[in-house]
Amino acid sequence: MALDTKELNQLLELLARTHEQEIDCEACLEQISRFAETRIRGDQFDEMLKNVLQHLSVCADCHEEWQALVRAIGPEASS
Amino acid sequence: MEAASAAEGPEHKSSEHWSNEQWLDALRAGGVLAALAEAALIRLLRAGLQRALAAKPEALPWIDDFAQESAMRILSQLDRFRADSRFTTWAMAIAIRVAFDEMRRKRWRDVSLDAVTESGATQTPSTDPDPERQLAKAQMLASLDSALNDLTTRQRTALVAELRGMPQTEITRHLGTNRNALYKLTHDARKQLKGALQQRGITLETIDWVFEPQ
Repeated sequence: MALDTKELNQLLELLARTHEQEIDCEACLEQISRFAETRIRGDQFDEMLKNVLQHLSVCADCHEEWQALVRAIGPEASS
Repeated sequence: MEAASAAEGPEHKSSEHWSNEQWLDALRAGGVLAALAEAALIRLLRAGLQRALAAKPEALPWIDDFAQESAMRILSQLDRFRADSRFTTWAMAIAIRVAFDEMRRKRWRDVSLDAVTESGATQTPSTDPDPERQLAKAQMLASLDSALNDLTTRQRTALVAELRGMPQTEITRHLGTNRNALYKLTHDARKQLKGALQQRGITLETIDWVFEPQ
């Protein structure tokens, strides 16, 4: 189960973004709609939304869903 | 008043302009009003999913199913809506999780965990022009490779599968766990690896230095 050089590099970058305390995917989903609207308004993130941002930096599946949410609500949320 | 306005249904006022209270009141009203609100919700989810999945043509035939399934999920979770965003944004986030989970399952259902984690590794030499940084990077990668062997088999399997792009829902299916438990498993593994590197004198600053653009 050895990793190749590219994967080891990816893992190192992932470790650099790893925090001692992180929220899980369910907590991310619970906050993602507020996160999206706060981001669209350009408002500052509170601590919980900073945790969402960090989670998105280490969770590929939640990040993919976040990008899809932006595509889905973009026109509506900005109206 | 808002419920009364919603009670006049989508014909009177487009559901796109309903307030959170109007959505909740209508979906909980029962009878014809709830059926109209549910139909409006499904239309809204379908339109959002079409935008979200526009780059995935293989998903298009399934969008109606995803919208229907998502609406059922949303209706069963109305009490969890905290009204700190628009109801429609909250509902859309749930629909996207439903759709992506299902798409990932369809795409990966015939791929075994062993096939993902046991594929061969190719080591390629660093091409960094700075010899000092090249050496540091090589030592860092060797340390990380060694620290990986100290993880449990389950931790290593989950982490490697994630790095190779296997979706969490599929890893959980193979490992017989759930997404949050898997997240904890890999988070603990990442913390352990980070701690092992720090014990070898490799800090966040060292990693940043090695990876800073040249």
